[in-house]
Amino acid sequence: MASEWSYVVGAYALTWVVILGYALRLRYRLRRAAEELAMAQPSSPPKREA
Amino acid sequence: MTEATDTRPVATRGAPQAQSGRLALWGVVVLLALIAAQVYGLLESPPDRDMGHLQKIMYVHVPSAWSAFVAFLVVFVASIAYLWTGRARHDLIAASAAEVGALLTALTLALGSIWGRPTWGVWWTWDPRLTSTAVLLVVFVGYLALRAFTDDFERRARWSAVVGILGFLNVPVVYLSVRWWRTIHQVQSAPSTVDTTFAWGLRVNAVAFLLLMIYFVRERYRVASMEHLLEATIEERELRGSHGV
Repeated sequence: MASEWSYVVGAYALTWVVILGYALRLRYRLRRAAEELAMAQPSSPPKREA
Repeated sequence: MTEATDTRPVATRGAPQAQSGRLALWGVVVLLALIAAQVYGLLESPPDRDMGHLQKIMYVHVPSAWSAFVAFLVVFVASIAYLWTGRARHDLIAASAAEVGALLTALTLALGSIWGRPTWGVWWTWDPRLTSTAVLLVVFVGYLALRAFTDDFERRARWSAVVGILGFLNVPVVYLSVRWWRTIHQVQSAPSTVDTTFAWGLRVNAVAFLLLMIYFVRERYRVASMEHLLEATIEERELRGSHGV
């Protein structure tokens, strides 16, 4: 049977995988949303006709 | 929905770069708080009389559960606020908190399972506390799935708000399940029932997890605001195109 410490280490490792994984996922989604938004918005205001 | 419903894109407050810088700093603070709290919990607490070193899993399992409850409280309050005011901002806050709450609930269940295997001899059992927590997770995963079901903002926000409010009602059930029903999960500990060392380990980790939850909700809200603005921009462009402007 695995030792007590292997369960403890497993629990903490899982916690950090979830925390860092989600943080990176949010960073990626934020960057992608910013890029898509920049592409969707007109780069310059429309010119007025004389 | 009344005509007063405000589904306009959520304006980004302050300069985006300054906001991004503040959140990055907040992220570093959260990271340091988590490391410090976990090191304190791991090094300071002696082995428990019954559980031995397995007790150290409590420093991540319990704060994760508490933070999830707080996240669902945010969903509850923001959902009521949305139904009351119709402001898009409230719906986006609720959705952000729901995702973070679901993530923390899943983590709570997984950590409980890792603790349960050597303690109870099983990874999972249909105990009232475990089952009600699993139901809570399923409800909020359903909430997130529901949001992907329709593109109509008002309908999506209204349905989600109702599910968010009803879903939160399960939180007190989860919390009190260990008192209401016969269960193998232990009842809530109080500072008077545990050694001071264990109580402080739990307190500092609870604060660190609360900061983490707030950081995640704020980051997720930024993503949601941008996606909402993107949807509105595309809609506006299509509308202009259809009118030949």
